[in-house]
Amino acid sequence: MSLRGVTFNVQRFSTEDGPGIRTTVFFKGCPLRCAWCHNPEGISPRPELIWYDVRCIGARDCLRACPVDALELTAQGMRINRQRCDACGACAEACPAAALEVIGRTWTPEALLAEVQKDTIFYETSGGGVTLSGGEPMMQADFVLAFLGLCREAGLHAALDTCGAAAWARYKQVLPLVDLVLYDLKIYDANCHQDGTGVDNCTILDNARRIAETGQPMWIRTPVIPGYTANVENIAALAKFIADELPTVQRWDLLAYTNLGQPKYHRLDRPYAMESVPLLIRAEMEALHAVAAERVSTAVWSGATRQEEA
Amino acid sequence: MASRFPYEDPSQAAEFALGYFCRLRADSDILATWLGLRALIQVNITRPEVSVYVNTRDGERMEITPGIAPEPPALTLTLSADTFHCIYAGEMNVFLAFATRKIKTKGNVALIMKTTWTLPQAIRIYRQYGVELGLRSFEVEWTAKASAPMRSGDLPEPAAATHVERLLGRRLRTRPEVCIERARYYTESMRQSEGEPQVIRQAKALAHVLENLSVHIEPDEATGAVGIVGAITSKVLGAGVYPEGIGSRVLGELETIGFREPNPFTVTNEQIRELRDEIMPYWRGRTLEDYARAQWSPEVKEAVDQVAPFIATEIAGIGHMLLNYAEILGKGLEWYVREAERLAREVGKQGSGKSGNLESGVAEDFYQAVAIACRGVIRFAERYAQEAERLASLGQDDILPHRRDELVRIVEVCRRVPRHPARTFQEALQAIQFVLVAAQIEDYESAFSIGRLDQLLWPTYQADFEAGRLTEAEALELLQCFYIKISHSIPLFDADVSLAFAGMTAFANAVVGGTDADGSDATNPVSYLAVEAMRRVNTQQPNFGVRIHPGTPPEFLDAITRAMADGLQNIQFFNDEAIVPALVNRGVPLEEARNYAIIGCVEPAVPGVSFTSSDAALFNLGLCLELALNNGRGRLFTDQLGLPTGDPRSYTDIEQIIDAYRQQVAYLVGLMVQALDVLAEVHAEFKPKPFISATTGDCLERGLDLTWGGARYDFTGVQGIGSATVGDSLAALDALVFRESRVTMDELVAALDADFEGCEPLRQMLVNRAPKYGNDTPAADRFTRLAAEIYCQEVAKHRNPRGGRYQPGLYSVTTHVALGLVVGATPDGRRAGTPLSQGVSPAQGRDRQGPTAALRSTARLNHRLVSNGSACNQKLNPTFLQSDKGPETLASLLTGYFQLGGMQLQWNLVDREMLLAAQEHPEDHRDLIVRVSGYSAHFTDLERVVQDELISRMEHVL
Repeated sequence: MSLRGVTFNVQRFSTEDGPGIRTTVFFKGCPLRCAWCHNPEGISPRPELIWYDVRCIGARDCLRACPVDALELTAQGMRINRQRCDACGACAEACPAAALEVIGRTWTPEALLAEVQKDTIFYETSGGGVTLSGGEPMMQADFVLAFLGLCREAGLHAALDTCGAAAWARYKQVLPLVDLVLYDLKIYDANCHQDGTGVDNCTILDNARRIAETGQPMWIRTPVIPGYTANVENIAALAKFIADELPTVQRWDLLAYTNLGQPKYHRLDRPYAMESVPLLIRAEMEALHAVAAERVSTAVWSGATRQEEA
Repeated sequence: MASRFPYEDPSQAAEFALGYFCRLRADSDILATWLGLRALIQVNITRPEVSVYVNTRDGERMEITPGIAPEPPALTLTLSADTFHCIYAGEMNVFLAFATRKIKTKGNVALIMKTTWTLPQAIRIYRQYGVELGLRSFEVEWTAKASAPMRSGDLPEPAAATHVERLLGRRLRTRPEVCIERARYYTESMRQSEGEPQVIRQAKALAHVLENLSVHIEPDEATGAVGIVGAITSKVLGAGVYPEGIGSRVLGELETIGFREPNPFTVTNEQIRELRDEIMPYWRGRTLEDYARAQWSPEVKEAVDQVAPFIATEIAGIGHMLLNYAEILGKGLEWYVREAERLAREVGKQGSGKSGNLESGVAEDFYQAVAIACRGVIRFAERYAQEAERLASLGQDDILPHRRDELVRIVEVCRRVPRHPARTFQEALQAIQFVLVAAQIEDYESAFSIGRLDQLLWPTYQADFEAGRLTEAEALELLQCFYIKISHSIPLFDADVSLAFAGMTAFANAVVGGTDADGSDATNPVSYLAVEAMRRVNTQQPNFGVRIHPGTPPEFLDAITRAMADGLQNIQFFNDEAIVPALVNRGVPLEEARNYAIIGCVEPAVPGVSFTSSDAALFNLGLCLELALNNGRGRLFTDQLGLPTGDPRSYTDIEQIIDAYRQQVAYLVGLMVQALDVLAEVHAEFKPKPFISATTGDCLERGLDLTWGGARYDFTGVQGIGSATVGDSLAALDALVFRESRVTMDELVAALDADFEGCEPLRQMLVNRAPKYGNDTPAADRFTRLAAEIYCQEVAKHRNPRGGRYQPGLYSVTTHVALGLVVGATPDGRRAGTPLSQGVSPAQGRDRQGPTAALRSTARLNHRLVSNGSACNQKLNPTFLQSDKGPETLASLLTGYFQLGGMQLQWNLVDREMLLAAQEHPEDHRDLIVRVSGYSAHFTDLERVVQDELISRMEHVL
């Protein structure tokens, strides 16, 4: 049987995941459980059904179509029995309003290549390419390896956006086919990292060093999250680590916390730990950026900040 | 604030409304119109609730009865009391009210459309009625409104403003006024010249206007280093009246034009009196429209009056010219006078002049007319020189020394140009301004374009620069003054034209960049200055564009996209690689095609030698599909508008529908061509344009006015509206009816008849479950390509009376709204009366895969056939543009699209209003993507609170 990869989104015209105009392939499945995750549909490796309140017209075709009787339309909205639902997609197919959607599309490496090649002309005019992100693409390392091989043959610039929590042996296989690594560093302190992401950061820091050792160009990405990563000590520690141990880093992005992922939690019936957390204020971001830039001159920050009274 | 309906109590409201309808009935014109309908019409007013029905079925009596009609009415109108009040108070455009569904309709909309021409009388009657009832607000409000300043009128002038800022500020703060001088002097001359050859009468009329039109030099035009003078009317910001053309339609609306929304104008009672009592009586039976009506066949007249199959614009005038500015700047108008006189003597000696192809024009008359017209324009400039001289001679106390110097310079410049060749940059701009003004006064204020601004100005810029006469800063300031000056040309449209061509702009186009005749890059320093000047003033005029080709310097494109990030909004892009082949395909030699410029919105033409009549009509593709799916009948206009192509329920595959669509297009294009041919003949006979012809090659050589076929390249341009609406409808039929059998033709037709009432799941399926143009899906895109291609092929089969070819365009300005009003529900899930798709853009909200996918779809159209131009709009988030990578990414997007073969592209910045509209009508805005540092989401999928936050954020961005 040939390889299959599962994605939750293939986003064209991505402009922040590496240089130029890019197509970002979001792979499904992630080893981390970050409290602030803005793509919760990328966590589980399995396809999942979601329901869009704003689109539903109450036609109830979905209820009739479901072979396992997993749906119930209540006054509070659609109830999806996630024990029963195997994301077969019959309801989504039946819904006239596209209010139900199975998140998780399966690809062969060849089909995915054909999809990302649609924008080749824009990669050429902008110096862009394809970015593998997630979730965590390294969770599907065999597929990623095959897909990257095809990208290399097709002459596409390929970037790998990774959280670093995979076996080094896997990175070693993949790296020769990658032109740029986008590497997430969230929290430097091991305990805090465990608390915020559910995973120890020992492997992550170690892999970062090893990638840098290979001479691979890297962009570091740090989500700036109130209560987790957004403190001076953390940013200073990360800055020191980057400055001292990662000589191939070309850029460090500090990405301000965004609440745009909030509706997705509701649609997946998951609790959202950041429910009432406001956006950062501009001055906080600027202060943290100053700390970062002290050691790492390529640090930049972006993202939305809280609306302040003029 | 719009005013309110005067009563809240239902019984008082009913009495008031009934009384008003009875008043309307007492007016003989209104009564005759309603009796002509022979129909039962139900009017339901809400908040407070009033129901009235009007019965004229016997064609003899107009019965007005309170309550609900006992039998099913032919048409039901539902509107709120406030909407009712605003329409009859003249504050709300009735067509806009239909378009925004403030008036809901059920039944034959054609009925009410046929009554809208009596609206001006109805408004007058409403006002009298209110005053007589003692409703004080009626009198008070109207008096207040007519004299109120425009929105921006209260802005104080910034203290430290520069000369350019003061000029721009005055343009924006000034309330537009009606100027009747052009109408007065034009009519005066036409009265005196009865019996003379038309072409000479026109020349004399132009010269008479230019001899008498009040000249005025605004203070700031001469207080800085430089100034461009020459106003099109006697007012600071005025619109002329063209009684022979569009003016006849405006006349009926003059009393409400002071407070209509949008686009109010100040007009005095004395002006209205003079127009109505002294000027317009002469034109009764003599307007372009009157002459055309006398010749149109009943079918054509019916089609024109319905404003459903097409909008024929040349009733108003033609405009859309690109004069030979290069030659005017190089030779001066006196050369044309001498040349015309010489040619007149020559043909005079031969005994009989060559006759025009329409046998109405004689070469000798034409040459005499050219000489009269050109002398008139020279005289106009001289009058400005005299005015500047007068101002300069004022006493020491009245004038500052540097202002005197500047006035002296203006005297010199106006004595020099356009009479003689332009030697300096200022002279070149001043010459263009005078010629532009004269041409607009001769024809009318629409889309007189400038052409390749950087190429026109380069010789004098270079000469000035090398002689040390001009600095870059001075050139920049002159360009800004020029942009502001030409922004003072604003057209006076009647209400329905205002809706079709919204925004009060005269569409004077200018382009920079591109190649020379050999195909080498022609960008020069003026190209950069022209962009920078536009960034600084952001005026509506000129409608500013850039020609892009593979050799466009990357630094030029970079300068433009950076200027966009820095606030430049008025900019569009044209692809030489698509436009040049399209022109060559129509027979223009390659070298000349490479010199193309743009007329009006997006219409390419070879400057100085073309008469492309480029916006002669806008054609309703959406209606053609409707007729194909309803056996030739409209769903809203239930009349038989098209051919009986058969019962749609009998169709068994998509090819049959495509074939029926093709037949309807062919039939209605044929009707449109008949209508336009007559108008072309009317213009040739009654409104030749000797000044415009003199400065358009090869009219002088041929001895023919351009309306007689004198121009080297002759076309008539007609635009197809709604390609994507048709394409998406065909794609939905193909997928859901014929391939997947999810719905039958019977069910679909029934749903369309019902405007999807009770069939929302089906409508949702049509919207969501069929492929849509704009998502990089070849299976869907091919249908939109086909829908446009069929139109283009049909149009190109026809020739106009001058022997030129009809050529298709695919752009809509805002006519996709007006033409959408008359089209019922369509199989793409679009509801009745809502807008059709715009230009070649995907239908509203139907492109979901981001900008690259949408552009790849658009590039799949057959642009080579679209030689009259296409328009592609894409939304752009201002925050993206302002990001570090924004300008560069935008340039890459553009370059990629043009490499794929796209023809034209412009970006609309997403603003707060757009987001608010998306909250209200999410389905039409599903393409809207918000991006926050790489994280992107479809706006309509976000929850309300997050949307609200993004909206409030937007207030700070813009």
